[in-house]
Amino acid sequence: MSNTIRRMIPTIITFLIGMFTIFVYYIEVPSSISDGSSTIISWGTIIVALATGYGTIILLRNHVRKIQTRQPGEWIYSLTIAVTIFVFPLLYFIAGDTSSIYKLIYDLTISNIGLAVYAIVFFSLATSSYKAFRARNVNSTILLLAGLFVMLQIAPIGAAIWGGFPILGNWILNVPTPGAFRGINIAAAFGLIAIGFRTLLGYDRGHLGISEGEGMED
Amino acid sequence: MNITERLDKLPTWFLNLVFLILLVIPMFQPIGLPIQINEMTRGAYRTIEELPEGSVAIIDYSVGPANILDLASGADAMIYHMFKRNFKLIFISSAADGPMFVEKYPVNVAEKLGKVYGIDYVHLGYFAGAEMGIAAVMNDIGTEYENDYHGTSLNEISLTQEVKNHEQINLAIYIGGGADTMISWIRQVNTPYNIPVVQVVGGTMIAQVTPYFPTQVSGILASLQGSAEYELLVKRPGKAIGGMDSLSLVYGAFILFVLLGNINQIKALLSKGVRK
Amino acid sequence: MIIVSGRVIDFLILVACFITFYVYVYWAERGKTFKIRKIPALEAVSEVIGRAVEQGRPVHFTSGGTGSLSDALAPQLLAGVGVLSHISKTCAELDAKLVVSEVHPDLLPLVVSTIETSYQIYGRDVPEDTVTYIPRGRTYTIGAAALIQREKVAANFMIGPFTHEAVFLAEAGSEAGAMQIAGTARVNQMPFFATVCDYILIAEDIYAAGAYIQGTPKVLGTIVGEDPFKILMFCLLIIGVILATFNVTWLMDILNM
Repeated sequence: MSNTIRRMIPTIITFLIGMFTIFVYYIEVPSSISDGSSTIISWGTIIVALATGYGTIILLRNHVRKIQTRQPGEWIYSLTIAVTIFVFPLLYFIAGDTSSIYKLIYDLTISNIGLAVYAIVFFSLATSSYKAFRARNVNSTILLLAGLFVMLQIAPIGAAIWGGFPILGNWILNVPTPGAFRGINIAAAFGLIAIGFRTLLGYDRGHLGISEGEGMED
Repeated sequence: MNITERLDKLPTWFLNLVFLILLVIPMFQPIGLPIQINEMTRGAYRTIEELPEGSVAIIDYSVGPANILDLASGADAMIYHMFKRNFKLIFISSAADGPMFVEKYPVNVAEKLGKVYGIDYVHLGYFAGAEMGIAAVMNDIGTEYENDYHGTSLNEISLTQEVKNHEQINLAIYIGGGADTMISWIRQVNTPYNIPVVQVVGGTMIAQVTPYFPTQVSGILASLQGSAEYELLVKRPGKAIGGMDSLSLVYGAFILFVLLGNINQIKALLSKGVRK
Repeated sequence: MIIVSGRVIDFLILVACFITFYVYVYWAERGKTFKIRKIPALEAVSEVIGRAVEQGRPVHFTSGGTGSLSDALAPQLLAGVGVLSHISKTCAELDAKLVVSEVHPDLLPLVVSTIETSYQIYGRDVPEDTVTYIPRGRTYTIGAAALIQREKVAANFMIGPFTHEAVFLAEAGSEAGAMQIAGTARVNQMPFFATVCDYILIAEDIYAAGAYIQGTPKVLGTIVGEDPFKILMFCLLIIGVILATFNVTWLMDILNM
């Protein structure tokens, strides 16, 4: 199959499905057609689910290789991962996700690890903010003051020190912050439309795994 | 290195140790600082108070292990409030982990209040498709769910025989950490059907959801702070109120460290004036 | 044909955008050149990778811990892949070691294909273990951070939709001594990148990144074509604020059509 056809067919499919989905979203159509659009969109969910299985196979393959070669310092962790990849699905199929054993193992492992990681993220955030909050220039001073006022608004200690802190913090959260976010979102929305336009017409072919610059001649 | 330079470059381990100690102290010696209730939390409370008794609320309970402690207390307080007003609750989840936490937390609240499964509340489980899933549920619950989380057909459950789609739903609540799902609930529920939406979300998402308050989102519980405020409003003290003391101490220490670390910069600013 | 109620203005703006972009592309094909402002983060890619080569340390890329190709975050993922193609080409050209941590299983084939295509241009083979698949969630947060610190990367690129792992990965890169270029359209994570990273791409910058890197007039035309609408939105905002101050609602009614 020539390169032109290899690129043209996926681009045509992208264009047709994209335009159909846009059309159905904006135009009043019979429910049979809008159901078709929902079905196409739900294919995406199915593909992601299949891709998750594919990713798990790749993960397992990499870790089994490390176990086979007894990679120093790593193979024992790879063994843990490989065992876990089988234990949870087996438990699900044997006992179901509403069973007490499944919930117990979930609570002991995933739940606790998730909490621990989230807690570590807090400490990481605190230390990185400590390093970042320096009044080096006007912009960083504004960042510092805004951060401090918002923190004093959140924590009861702020109101205990001075009643004005919650008012200032609320003002920062409710006035300049949403304003800035709205501006960013509006600009991003047009960027999104532009990238959609480029993808639909085939100017951008990243979704086909084609590197930038390649194929732009057609 | 003089003292101000040391304060400017405090080691990470020292900061983390101080924060850890300050987090733990209030567990043994609560301080009890007064908590101010902000307008977004009041909005959530008012929304539930102003709906008639016996209203139906659909709750997307999509917490995960990471944010459960942040949001569960506030969610529990809100669910307690709704049950006290004899609301009928339908629990769904757009996150795969959500259903397990529904069984652990809200169901616990329901059982303590003597609420009957199938009549006062029902748990439908996970739904796929994110925004499309929300649209489908509001259009017709039956298109997303044939059975509830425990495998019982919806045709055999009293509540799901009465509540089929958005026409029977009076309130939608999103509890979770998904910024995009949070906005999807506004787009797919409030915009087309004018159903009030209340959000219980993590701290990093506040700035994103605030612009929608109070027109499209009637109330917001913002992380641990919002949860503590709601517990105060419904007079049901819980872990969130307990956590606010820790929050105060840690934030206080953090602000102190930041100010001390800025001594050099403040000195430079005072001596040379503000530089661009 | 009837437009769905509540979406009339959206539809008209979308059609106007498409027509405007097409007009700018048409002008570009007829030889008109467009100048756009420099995006420092993208200009710095070669410098950052060159620094990594000098130090003999790898370059790391990751496209975030959330989203998929079938949801609203897909454009950010594709934007990240667009930047990755430039990064991988530069790494192939300068013979820098590239390590990629990928969370999205549906994006994995695109990432691998993009890197292979880039390396083939310079006649190089892609080393094994260039791309590491890490399942999403807390696994990714810790796994990618561990990869960054274990490999002691000198350049850390984070472009895509991120959640709470943003600050953790940025901090890991900072502790590894890496120069960091980050970009996301998720507004709640931007502040963390802004405080920790050396260069940042904010929202629409990442959508424009692929086009900016390509630099072809046709594609630049779509970036320039956004400007009339931004000016229109700016004017609408000013008019809207004035009207809302005096409680005049006709503009809101039109926009809600």
